[in-house]
Amino acid sequence: MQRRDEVGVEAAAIAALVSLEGKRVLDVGCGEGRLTTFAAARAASVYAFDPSAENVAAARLALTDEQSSRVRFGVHGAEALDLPRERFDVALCGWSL
Amino acid sequence: MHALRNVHAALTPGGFVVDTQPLSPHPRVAADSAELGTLDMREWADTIRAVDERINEAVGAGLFDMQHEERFVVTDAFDTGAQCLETISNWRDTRIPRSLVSRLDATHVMVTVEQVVRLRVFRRATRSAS
Repeated sequence: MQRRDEVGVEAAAIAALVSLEGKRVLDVGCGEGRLTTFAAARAASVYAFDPSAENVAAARLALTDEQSSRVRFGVHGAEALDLPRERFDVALCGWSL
Repeated sequence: MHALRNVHAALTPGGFVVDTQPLSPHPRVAADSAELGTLDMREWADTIRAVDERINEAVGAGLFDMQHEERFVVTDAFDTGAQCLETISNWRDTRIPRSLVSRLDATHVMVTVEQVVRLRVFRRATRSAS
């Protein structure tokens, strides 16, 4: 089994700089959910996307039922991002840009 | 650049982009605190340089302002060397030296991979992307 950043160094560093509490978060290239669960635990809503359907399935599985209610997923790259303008407060680009 | 313009358009004025990237060209792989070897991620470093060029273009175009930069070490852990090997074999732009493959195959305890990660925070400028 792999445990990514088990002590949460990356999440703690982000949380110290940018509050996600109650925010609308865009998770760019979410991968297997490296930052999706972190965002879902704090934000009002999250839109997470990745070009890999396999990655998105893994990211979805990592969420609790309660977190899932606030997260929508998409399978596409950032070039194909087609959302209403000025909808999000924070974009997380975790190992993805 | 197109992707960054899309992110810019999706953010509210004053919204933030949080960008984290692993930077180490040679991340350390260890077991029981003893180094087994290092990965060869020099090709990844080239990818990061290309990403940085696109970000610099976006900053130069007035889409974002950089607010903060810092670096820290992120450690990923694997139950065994074989599991580590299986995962990192799929990492983009990453070569695993043959000697390290042998050591990982023979390691049946927890293995860690340490990567220096750069965190940058950008604020979306108020101008619209053209």
